[in-house]
Amino acid sequence: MYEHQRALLSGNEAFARGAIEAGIGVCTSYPGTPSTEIAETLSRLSTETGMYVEWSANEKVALEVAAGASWMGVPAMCSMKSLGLNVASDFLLNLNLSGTGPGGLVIVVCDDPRGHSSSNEQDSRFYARAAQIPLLEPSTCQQAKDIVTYGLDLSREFEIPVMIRSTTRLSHSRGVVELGDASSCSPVPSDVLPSRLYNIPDPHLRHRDLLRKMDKVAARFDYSPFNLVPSSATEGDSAIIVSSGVSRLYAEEAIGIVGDRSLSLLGLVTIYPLPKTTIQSLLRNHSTILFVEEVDAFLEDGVRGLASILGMQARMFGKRTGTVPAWGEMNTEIVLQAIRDLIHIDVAPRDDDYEEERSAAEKLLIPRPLTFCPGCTHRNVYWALRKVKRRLGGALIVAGDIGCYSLGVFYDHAMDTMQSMGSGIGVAGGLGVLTRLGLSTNVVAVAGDSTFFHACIPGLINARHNNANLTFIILDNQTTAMTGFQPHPGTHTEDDGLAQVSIEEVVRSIGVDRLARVDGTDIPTLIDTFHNVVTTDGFKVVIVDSICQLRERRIAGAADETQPVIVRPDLCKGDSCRICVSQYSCTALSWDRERSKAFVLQDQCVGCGSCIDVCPHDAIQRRLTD
Amino acid sequence: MYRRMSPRRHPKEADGLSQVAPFNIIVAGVGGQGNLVCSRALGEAAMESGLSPTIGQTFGASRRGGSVLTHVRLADRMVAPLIPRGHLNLLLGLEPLEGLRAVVQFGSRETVAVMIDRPIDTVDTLTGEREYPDIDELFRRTVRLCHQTYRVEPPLEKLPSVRSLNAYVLGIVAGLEIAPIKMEALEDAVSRIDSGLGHNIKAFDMGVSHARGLQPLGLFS
Repeated sequence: MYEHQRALLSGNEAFARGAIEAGIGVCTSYPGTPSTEIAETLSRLSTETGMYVEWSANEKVALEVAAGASWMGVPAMCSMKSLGLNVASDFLLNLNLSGTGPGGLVIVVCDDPRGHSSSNEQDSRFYARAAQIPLLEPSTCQQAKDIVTYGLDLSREFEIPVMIRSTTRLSHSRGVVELGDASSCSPVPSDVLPSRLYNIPDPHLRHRDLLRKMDKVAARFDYSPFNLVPSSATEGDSAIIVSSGVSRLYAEEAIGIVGDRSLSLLGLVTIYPLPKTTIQSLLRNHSTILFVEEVDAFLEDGVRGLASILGMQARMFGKRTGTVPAWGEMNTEIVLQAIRDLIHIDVAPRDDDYEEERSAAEKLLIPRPLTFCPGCTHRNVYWALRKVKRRLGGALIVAGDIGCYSLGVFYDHAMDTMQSMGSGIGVAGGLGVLTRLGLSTNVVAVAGDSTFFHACIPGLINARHNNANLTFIILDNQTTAMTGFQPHPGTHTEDDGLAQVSIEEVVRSIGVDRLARVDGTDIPTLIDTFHNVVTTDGFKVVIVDSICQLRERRIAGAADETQPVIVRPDLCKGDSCRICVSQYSCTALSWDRERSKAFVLQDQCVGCGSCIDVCPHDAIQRRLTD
Repeated sequence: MYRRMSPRRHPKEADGLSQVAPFNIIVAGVGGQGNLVCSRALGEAAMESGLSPTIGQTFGASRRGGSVLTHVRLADRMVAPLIPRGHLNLLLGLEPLEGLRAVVQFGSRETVAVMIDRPIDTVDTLTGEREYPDIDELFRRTVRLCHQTYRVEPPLEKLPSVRSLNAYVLGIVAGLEIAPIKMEALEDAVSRIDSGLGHNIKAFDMGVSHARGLQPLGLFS
């Protein structure tokens, strides 16, 4: 597995290694950045470890599958991104009362402050408070590994789910981790289901029991080896930074840079329920407290609340006082600025000359926007939709969804809306029923294949049932491309243990008025089909057989039998046209400024030939064999 | 074997707080350039050299042509995954625009920059919406922001493949001896990331030998 006893692991790999050391028998997940590599790593090692690793259809199902394992005595882990917990929360806020089983269950949730790879910014920790379950927030890769065993033990003892929260900078950062031994026990499911796995008729009494458990957990947390407590009790007028998660590392660095010996640090890992005695001595020993955490004032509110209950006082600063921003990622500069504001430490003099040079250089920089990969069929779909929209005089709304095709918002604003998984077809259903109130604009929803299975089916059924007037375009490239090609129920599989579910059959069984299937590389047919289908009234679905060129290349390697695509300079109309580079904009098409002609970057081109039909002058062609 | 590791001690040494200022490297480039592999090799070599690396990766955009920035921090323990502004020791720019972008954000008068002179278009420069900045001006600006700037023209025709550019840059790092990492350890790490064709090791060796003739740009060159 790992040759050395020390390894350079990402936070996510460390969570995975922790699962192996803890003896997790079942791991379930739905891919989502920045959480994907946890289950991905375990999936890769599953033959070796014997662990059952499942890419579930969505996070709620994933959590349900994991709960089943836990009930039957198999240690279970469920990993997901922030938004995934929104989906799973309905089940979570029942499971907390029903309880997990003898196997134990840890939920690893990876938040994405700043929304690097997310449609929103959210702090998922409030779910731990909503569900009244223990919450652990490791600060280093080492803790990420070790916390899994700790969390699982806690879950087994109290029979409640335990939540571990990570953020992008922990999940995606590497650090040195001392490895322990892989668990030697191979979990065998029990034959007996725990009794009373439901909350009725007295859910309020279950709630009462849960709160009693949480009191015991809080007392336990006072002895947690994970919390970094200041080594010596200092006098009552000193300042301290209280942090959790990866923010502890920023706080440590800021304190190091400032170099003030009176400033100490409390790094909490057990952040819900708060360890009461620890917080009591914090409040007793420090008159000034600065909270450093990502993203909301979760820890801060907890300590402020506890201080009020205990009748203790301190000058507390954080997101509530505007001392640090309550949005975006944490970093060392933010902590430094807060320290300077609070304790008026001498700031290193500003190097004005350097700052001037810096701003001058900054002016030279141009952005590097994201775009579709060369040959991506999603570009063709939006190109076609744009053509159709123009033909309809702009009377076309495109409700979008979550996946690589979300980049449609940057592609000439070809996608008009984008919220949660499956919400494209949901809101399109809402727009589609407005026809009866006189809406004349054509409505289209777009979703990918993995998203279809994840959350589109109820929206689709709702739209069917209510006879929404819309066209649902499903971009089926057979994989969860955005997160690195995880399989989903529609993926073709050679694995005997898995069955393939056909999107087309699901759609047909719901009963569409019209169903079309198109090749995503064939632009003229895409345009014609979209135009015909969109302008017909009814509830319609178009399945686009799409190709993820990254995945194709991975499968096929570099070998390509097709004739290379070229631009013939004698036919290219030059600056008066530029449709291929300025409008279609495949990144394998470039512009020769000296000759004012388009040309193909052969090292980028995948040879799909989609652009051939984009050129109105037939200048893009396949090179004939000599 | 390195010249510029500056183990400035922070005043505070108690409570397990950071004792030695980390040596900070950024690998800046564009998706698809092997940025993450490059930083991983640096990290593993640092481990072999007795240091504890922390690697902060930003790869949300790595597959879709966006900027990719990796922070490699060499210290005695895991430290914050992001380098504070103005604390960059060594910049490895796999692409000049992205190199300068990182210098503007993190650079200081102590930064040593190694920048590959091979611009990669953005979507906007391809479509003609924007002009790619003047390449000489990019380097002039880098020189003014850094202690030393090496302008590296990669021998693209001689490299085993474009994809081995990252290994070539690591060779330059080893040859110039500008990081607190043992050259043999870096070579080992590069050989471990090799595809089996020996491309990376060959590119690494080329980098090492080309580094011998390299001189940093002067303010007026």
